[in-house]
Amino acid sequence: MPKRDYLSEFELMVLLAVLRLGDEAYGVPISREIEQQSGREVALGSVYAALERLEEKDLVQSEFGEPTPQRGGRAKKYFRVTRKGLREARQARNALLNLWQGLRELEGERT
Amino acid sequence: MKSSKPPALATWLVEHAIPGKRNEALAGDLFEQFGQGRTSLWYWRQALGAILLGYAREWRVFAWASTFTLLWAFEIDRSHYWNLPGARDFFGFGGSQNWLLSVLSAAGAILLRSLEVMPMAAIAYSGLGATTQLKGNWKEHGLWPRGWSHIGKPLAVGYAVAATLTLLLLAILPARHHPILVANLAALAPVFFAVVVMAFVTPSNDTRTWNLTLFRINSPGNR
Repeated sequence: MPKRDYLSEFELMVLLAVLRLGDEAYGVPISREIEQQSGREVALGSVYAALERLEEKDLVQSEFGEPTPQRGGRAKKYFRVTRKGLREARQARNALLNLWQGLRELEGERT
Repeated sequence: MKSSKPPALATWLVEHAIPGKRNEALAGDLFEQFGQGRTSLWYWRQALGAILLGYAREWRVFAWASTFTLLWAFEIDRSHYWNLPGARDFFGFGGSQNWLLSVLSAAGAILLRSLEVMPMAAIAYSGLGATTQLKGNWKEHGLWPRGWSHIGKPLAVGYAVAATLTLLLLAILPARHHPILVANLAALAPVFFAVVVMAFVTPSNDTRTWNLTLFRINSPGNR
């Protein structure tokens, strides 16, 4: 079996947030999306650290937008998921679903 | 009333003190969030968190070089500065010198202990430079992990090897042939004098510790 570099829980959350946001995926909405979906406060620095790791693994790509006055003249950095990223997300979902199946302790619970 | 501008120092730190290449985007995101009602405290927390994360990541990337550096620093300290015959007595632990010699020896002890920083920095700098150069992405990293990597791979790796061999040699040579000590003493002379001056102006009646003050000479236990 080939060796795989597994995604951490947070990396997977960031990857899914980028997917959900589509063309509007940059730091602020990504962290907001994760906060809304997970109910936990997220540091922007940790979001960028995760995005950097995902980019190194070729799971996301980034490009700079235009600088805007709302950001003090700084550009947004937009992210999008690559084909490899999509494949990784699917594999992670399948692995998690397989692990979840048949666990009576977790049935009927929704937090 | 909330200021309309985010803390300037925090912004500067985000743009300049975080290793890596994400600084502009992150600074922009923080600016945008601040404009949407976040507080200065939140801004500072995010900025400091991002800086710490950035350096934690750098540490992981250069883990072998950092570990190697720490091991070497420990070895140099152990073999040269602390286990010399009579070093502990001379440097003020259990000695019964007069106050002037005591002050000087205590300051010398502090200085000698601090000297490990010099070879440690030399190894760290050359090791990090070589690592960055070998990874081929030195331009993406902040200033300190680059080390000497901008001089090219052969020289960067050569310096790392030379520094390591030099320190290996220093570690096995007798202490009296310790050339780095002479150079460091000269470089740290201002620190030495600062420590001596501090020793003279710091009052202390605790006779169990080093005789760091002029008051020691007149204390009851010393008459």
